Amino acid sequence: MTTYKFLNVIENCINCGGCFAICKDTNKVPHGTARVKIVTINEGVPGERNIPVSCMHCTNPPCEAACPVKAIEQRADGVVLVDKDKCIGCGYCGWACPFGAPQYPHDLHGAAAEYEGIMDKCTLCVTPFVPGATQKSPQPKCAQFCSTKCRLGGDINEILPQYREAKARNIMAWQERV
Amino acid sequence: MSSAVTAYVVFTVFTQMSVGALIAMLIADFLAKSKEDAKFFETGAWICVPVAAIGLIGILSHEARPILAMITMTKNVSSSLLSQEVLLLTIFVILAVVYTAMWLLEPEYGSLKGFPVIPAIVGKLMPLRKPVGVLAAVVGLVFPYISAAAYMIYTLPSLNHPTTILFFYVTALLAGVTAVAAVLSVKYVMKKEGDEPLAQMLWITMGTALVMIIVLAVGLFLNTGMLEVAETEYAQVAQQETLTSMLSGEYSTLYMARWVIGVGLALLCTIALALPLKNKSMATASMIAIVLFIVVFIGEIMGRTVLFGTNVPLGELMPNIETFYTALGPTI
Repeated sequence: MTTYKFLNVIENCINCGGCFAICKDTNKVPHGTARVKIVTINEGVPGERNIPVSCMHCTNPPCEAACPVKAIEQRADGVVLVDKDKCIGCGYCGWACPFGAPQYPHDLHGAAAEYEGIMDKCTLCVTPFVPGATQKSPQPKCAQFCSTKCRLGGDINEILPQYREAKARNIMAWQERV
Repeated sequence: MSSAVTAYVVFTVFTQMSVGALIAMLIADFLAKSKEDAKFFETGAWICVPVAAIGLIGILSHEARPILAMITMTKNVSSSLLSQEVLLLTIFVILAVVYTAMWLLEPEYGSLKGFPVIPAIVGKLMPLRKPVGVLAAVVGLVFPYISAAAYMIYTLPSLNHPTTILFFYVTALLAGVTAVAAVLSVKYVMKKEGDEPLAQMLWITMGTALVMIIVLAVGLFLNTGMLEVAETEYAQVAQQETLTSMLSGEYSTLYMARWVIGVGLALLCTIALALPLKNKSMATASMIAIVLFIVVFIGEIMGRTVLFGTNVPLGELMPNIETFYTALGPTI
């Protein structure tokens, strides 16, 4: 069974911002909103790490359980999607999500203005910011575009071996250094 | 302070206050020995529903689609605590409207007895007023618990402890009961009638306020201590942020003012109420009751602002995500 997930090999992230940029471009995400953001921890000190953070498409999504209007739904393939026409913008999913993935954009213009204050988040590139024709297969552009192969996205059965291999390489490299 | 915090403050304080106001009216209903007493108490029935309406407007103003929210917010009752909270509030408001209508449309002393037809119908249903009131009070008493549960989720570590429930019940009983007492006191000051029923109500108000203020003080004390208790390191960071913001950060002045006004001054007013009540000096007692409500209301607004303003959801703690992320790794 296909289950779509994200995995991040955080040792590989160089904070190039490629995932952020391609996501904005592909999904036409307006200014002030980010479906994926890079968080830097221990900045400027040993142990600095960059982590691309977006919706993780949890196995049991707390946002789905919290949503009072049933606007958030998890598909059979694990992709968590929000129905923007049902969403009331209450912000409760933002409280329920431990990753801070739900965004509530403001100051929108044009076709996007209709979705002022309505929740938006990563959809694994299934739907753009202004929902249109839904793609059948999730193809996360951030993972495809990642130059260091830090961001792995797709079927968990495919990306988990890649993730493990990358982690093993990093551990071996660390062992060689010490 | 963000507009969302204002919305949460208005929603929680006013809806809980309306629960307390209904309970106070139910007490008045049982206290009234004569038509004159009931006529005096009837004015207090004007509080509950308008206050609940303010609370509802408060929360709907914060939604991106208020009209859609009104229609659909109870759709996910099975798993969403927010849906359960809204459903319970809706039931409470419906019962409160019926109960209030039975007071205001009472054919003999109701303020709206002049309405055509309706008072005659209500008159026949009058024996049901107390049962409806009791039912509304029971639903109302469950409401603060469910309301608190909606905020006591693991991703809101600073609200995820029992003092949240305590605070919500204190708001309901302290602000609600004193609000009714204040309105009746204003009536007394203006009309100089109803010495006996007002005295009874103020004694009850004094007792309730005294207990609630003590509970509030204990709750506030426990809150600062319990904020440091968290299940995960990640949650501990959120609680520490809250504690810092509350005790030495942006909200520290408001937090201290909450202690001084909401606890100190309120306790002083409550104790001061005893003397004129004992001496049957109702003019002084009513003035103190009005001041008590103002002090309590300001205290509750400040307290709730601190509670929601200092709240740090886990999702906002991005820079501290490493601990959580590492813990999650092997389970993916």
